[in-house]
Amino acid sequence: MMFPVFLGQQVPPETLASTLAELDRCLQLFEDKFLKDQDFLAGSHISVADLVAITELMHPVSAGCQIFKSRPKLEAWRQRVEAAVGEGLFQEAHAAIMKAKDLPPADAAMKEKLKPFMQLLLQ
Amino acid sequence: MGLELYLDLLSQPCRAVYIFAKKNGIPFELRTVDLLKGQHHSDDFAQVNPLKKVPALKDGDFTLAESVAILLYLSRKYETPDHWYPQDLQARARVDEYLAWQHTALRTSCTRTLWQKMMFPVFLGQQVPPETLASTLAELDRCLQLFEDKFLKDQDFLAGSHISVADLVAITELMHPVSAGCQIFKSRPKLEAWRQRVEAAVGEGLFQEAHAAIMKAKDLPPADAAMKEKLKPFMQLLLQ
Repeated sequence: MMFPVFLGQQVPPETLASTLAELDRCLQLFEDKFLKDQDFLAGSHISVADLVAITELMHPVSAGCQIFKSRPKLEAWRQRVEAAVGEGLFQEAHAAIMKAKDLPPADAAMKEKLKPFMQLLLQ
Repeated sequence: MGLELYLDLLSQPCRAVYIFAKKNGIPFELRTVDLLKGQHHSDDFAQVNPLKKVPALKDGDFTLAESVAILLYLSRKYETPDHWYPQDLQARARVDEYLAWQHTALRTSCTRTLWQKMMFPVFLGQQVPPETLASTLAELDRCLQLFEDKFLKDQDFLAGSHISVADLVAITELMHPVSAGCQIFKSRPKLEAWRQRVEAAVGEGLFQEAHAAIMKAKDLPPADAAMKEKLKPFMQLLLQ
């Protein structure tokens, strides 16, 4: 999302495909190894682990990835976490990232500053 | 069945867990997982750690992955001396901060350095483009500078006056490029002084024992075709 929309630069389709495959692999591990059949990552109650996880997963969501659609277990967990946090606070924390797709394109100065970071992100 | 630690001492985080357990006299069964033979991919090991990585811990029915989690679990269960993971709020925060940073910083550059400088040519018989290696060594240097300036500063150890798990994680990491022939301590007297303090606190015998395998990695017989095939996906990651 950020490369095409904010930086005006296309990312090779194979790079993106590889990244999405890795995301998928991680989500599967998340469900199978960490969440399992529990309500939250450490058991019956929300912990800092759930906060770290949910804020992470909202990143691809803000780019338009529907990661929860095909994963009912993950979706159920997300709802429990949002309820535990409180919807107002959750929306407030995610307002900026959810609007990232509407950011005006970066100017030349911004692009220059972001150059080294950009290289890392395309590997 | 008591505590079992699944380790390959070729791995940096395994060495930290090994040293911590031995130094604190924690009784455990060592279960060797030979990474170069791909043993971490076995179905049996997946029962212990579905993430297929070492170190891993099995304590009765309780299994645990991730070296940081393992070190902290051991420190709590066996009530190791306070300095390893100090109760003091800010000292503990410094340990946590280092443990969090190192995963995506020093770990990455030390692993890449070992593989690109030594394992690829010696073990896999494959040359690494000079610009790739140069870039990796530059990144290692940048991490070492951050380590000295931001984390160690003018202290004896990372969390202050005493050795903690942060120092164990750091020293075992830095031995990786050392085993590949990088003289990282030569040009960095502050780092060298810290290294000597950490080795003295660990005990030279235990330190050498934990590092015997990695220091001999350069003498490993070249990988056969089967090993190379197993290592292929891993190799791609290491060359980025």
